Amino acid sequence: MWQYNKKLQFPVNIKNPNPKYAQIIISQFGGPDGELGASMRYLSQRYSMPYGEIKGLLTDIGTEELAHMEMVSAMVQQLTRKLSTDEINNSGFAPYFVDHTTGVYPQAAAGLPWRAEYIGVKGDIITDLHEDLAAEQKARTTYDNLLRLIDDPDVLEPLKFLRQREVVHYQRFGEALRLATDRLNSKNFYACNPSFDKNCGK
Amino acid sequence: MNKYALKKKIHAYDFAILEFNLYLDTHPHDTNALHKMHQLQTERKELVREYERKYGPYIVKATQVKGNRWCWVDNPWPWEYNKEEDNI
Repeated sequence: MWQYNKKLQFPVNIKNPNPKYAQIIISQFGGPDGELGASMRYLSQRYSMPYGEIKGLLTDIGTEELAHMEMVSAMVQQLTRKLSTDEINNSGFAPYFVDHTTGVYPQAAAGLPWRAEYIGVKGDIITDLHEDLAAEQKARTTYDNLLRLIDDPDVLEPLKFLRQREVVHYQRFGEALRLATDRLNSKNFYACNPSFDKNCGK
Repeated sequence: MNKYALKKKIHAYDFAILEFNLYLDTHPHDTNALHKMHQLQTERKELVREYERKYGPYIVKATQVKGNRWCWVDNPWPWEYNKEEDNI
């Protein structure tokens, strides 16, 4: 179960609305490498993890991703407040507006709604951890791309924080992979799948 | 310490505690880290106590009952823009 803390993990207070920024930042909510997918990926993979350390890590990082999803959504919400119809027409925000007004809907920057195909749950510890390592790097690249396109410090600060968290999660997943392979046959990590085969591993 | 500075300090503790949480997931036998985590939790508890003594609840909880109003529903919610610097 979960409990909600009535605060953000890192403050988001954006003085100047900017619908152009909102429609690219929304990709980190519902895009292919966004926070919604990140959370669903880790929280779903937990159930086929054989080792306590990695069950714990997936639970805790999957939970932190929910807090990141909330930060990204807060940024989109604040960037689209008090818009005039002229601002909507002139910023390229009109196609989003016509479907969602200024509600926050999980989609990619190019308009594709969030899809479960963005995540993988293979039920194999080595495969799933490699997916997680790649996912953190893909999210990091997406934040780098956003940082290149944005010049408002109110928007940059939370994005830089989120980018840094991808790097930390990548580090922890690397350690998790090492913990997993340390328990497998060092001559052949793939001899059996400890997530499924009985008596697999040391 | 004023309200904003104290809240910011507790947030910093929350962040450090989360970092130790993730680190300890993959290093559950690191006694130095366990000790540091315990120390941070103790210091945080003291800061929250100080905050609540001076300024009221640090975080409004859904289970909290205060007087004759259900404060959980009070604005602002965390995602809302608020130029008051103590709303972090």
